[in-house]
Amino acid sequence: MLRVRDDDAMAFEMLIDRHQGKIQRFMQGWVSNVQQSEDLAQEVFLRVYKARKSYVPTAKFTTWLYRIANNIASNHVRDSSHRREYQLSNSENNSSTQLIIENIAIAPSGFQPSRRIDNSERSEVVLLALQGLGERQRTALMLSKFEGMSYQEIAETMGLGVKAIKSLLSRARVNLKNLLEPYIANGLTPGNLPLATSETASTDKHADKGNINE
Amino acid sequence: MNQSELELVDEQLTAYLDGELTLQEATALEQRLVVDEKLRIRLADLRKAYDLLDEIPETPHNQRFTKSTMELVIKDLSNTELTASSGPIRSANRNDWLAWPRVLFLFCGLAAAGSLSAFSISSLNHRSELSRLGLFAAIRGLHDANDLETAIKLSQETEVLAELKGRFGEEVVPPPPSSISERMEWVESLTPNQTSRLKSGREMFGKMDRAERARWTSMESKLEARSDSKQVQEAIYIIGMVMDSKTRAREELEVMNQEQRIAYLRNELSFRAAMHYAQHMTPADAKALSDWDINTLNPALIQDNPSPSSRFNETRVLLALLLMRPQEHSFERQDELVDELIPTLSKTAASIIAGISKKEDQLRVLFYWLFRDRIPREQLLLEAYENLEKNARNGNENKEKLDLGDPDDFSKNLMNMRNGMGPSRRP
Repeated sequence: MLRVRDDDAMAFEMLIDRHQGKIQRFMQGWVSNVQQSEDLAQEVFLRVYKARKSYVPTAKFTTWLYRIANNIASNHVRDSSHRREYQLSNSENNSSTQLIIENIAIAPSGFQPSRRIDNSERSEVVLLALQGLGERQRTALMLSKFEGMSYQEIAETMGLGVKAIKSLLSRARVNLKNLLEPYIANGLTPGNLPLATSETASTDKHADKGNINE
Repeated sequence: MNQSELELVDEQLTAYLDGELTLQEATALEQRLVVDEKLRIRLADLRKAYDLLDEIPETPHNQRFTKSTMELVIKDLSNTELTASSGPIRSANRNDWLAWPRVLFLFCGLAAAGSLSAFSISSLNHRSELSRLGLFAAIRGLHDANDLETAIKLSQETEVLAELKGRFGEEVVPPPPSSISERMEWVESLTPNQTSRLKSGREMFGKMDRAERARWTSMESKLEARSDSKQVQEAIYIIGMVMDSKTRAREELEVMNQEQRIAYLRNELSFRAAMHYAQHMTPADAKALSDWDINTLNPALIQDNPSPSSRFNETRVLLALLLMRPQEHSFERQDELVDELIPTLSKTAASIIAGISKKEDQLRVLFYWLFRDRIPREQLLLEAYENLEKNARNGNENKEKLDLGDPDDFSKNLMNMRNGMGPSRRP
């Protein structure tokens, strides 16, 4: 980042290369489609470039980077033009998220909560649960999980105290657990999430067809 | 347990999972976990939910994303400049490296030339990048020379370098102006080939580690401080271009000391210059060569290899064989032969020949020069070769001196000459 601050364009390209994947994933926690998350990630790098002269290497670069990312994401969802769309998929009490998750879990299997799901469905379910959290809980959780930040670093990134982060992360974990309850209750944990075999996939296909026909 | 107590427990469990408890706190909690099954289940549930976040993969790296982001940045900066310059008083400095019309011009021009994809012009809109343009253009040659002294020494081969400059023509990147503000215009004036070389140098530089970059940057600074910097820079560019076609030779260079490296590179530069000079040899040099052939070379060959039919074409065959023979059978008088010719050649031709380190290689080049416009005689040469071979088999030839070798090799060498590749060189 020091090289970027000194107008080294090559270093800026390298910075984009290095952080693009994580920033886009961070944005996926906020918006519902990939294109939007990519646009927001680009906005982050543009902001980084514009603010390069103000960068002071006293803190970790990622702390500074995610502070920018968090501001952009947060402003985006608050923006009036996006608010309606955002509220459709993020109700305040999480109940609609819960419903969506349960629907994804149950519908294709013909009311079999323990049916086997594939990788893309799994990540969709978890992403929906993440999006169902409050903004600050979600940010804290993603910084902890994906960036491996300590409470102190998360506090610096989010401009909050360490105690507040401790509380936020705790509530975030509990809420996430509640949202993913149908999965956890049915034994669908990261270690033993059953993969769709050709046989079950075939069965599920027929089940899907059946549901659509119904 | 009331709600408030439950929240406190969850906080403790979360902090425990996140490794944020002190040793004492963690030990106390672990003691509770041992005896409290509900607490253990709660801990497991919180962990499972958190671990499920692993199901969200990191977005795979995408070069298109990097490129479009860089373009977005430059577009944004261009717009800023546009806005700044649209007022009644133009605020943009004339020397501003980011003057927006240039940016747009470059952007469109290079995109049209198809070179934007890899050589992101947005990158050039940075003072530090602009200041390194000379280094990007020179980096391959610098790497080959390895140190400034080698480059300076080789830059004194003016005749050879002038010949090579004619060979590579517009591929040679001209030295960038010293003023950063003028470098934008300099970039605009480059041909697609030159831009491509700059791009490849930039990529090479980008892959280097910090120490390596510092080394080359310091070398370039020293070079720029010299009064003959342009001459040395040009030599460096040409060295890089000559060596670009010699990947294996570059590996050999890695283990050479400075003296060996200078000799090796001088030899390579001279060989390449010789191949080019054959295409536009001056009439005076052609005559000097022809006179030398008739008066010195032919008699020497015939004298050394008495043949019952010492006809014109067969002497060429003898010379070709001489050049193809293993080194231990080298022609005794070859040093004298070349030395007799050199004073009669032009400065360019003499310098090229003198730059080739081995006498046998000098002879090889002269052989190529002699044959440069006689290649259609290939069939005659092959017939002459077969004739010599027949005589040798019949005991009419001095086999030790001739060492006829493999007719296929002879044929291959002639084919190489016909294809303009010059005579093959012994490893």
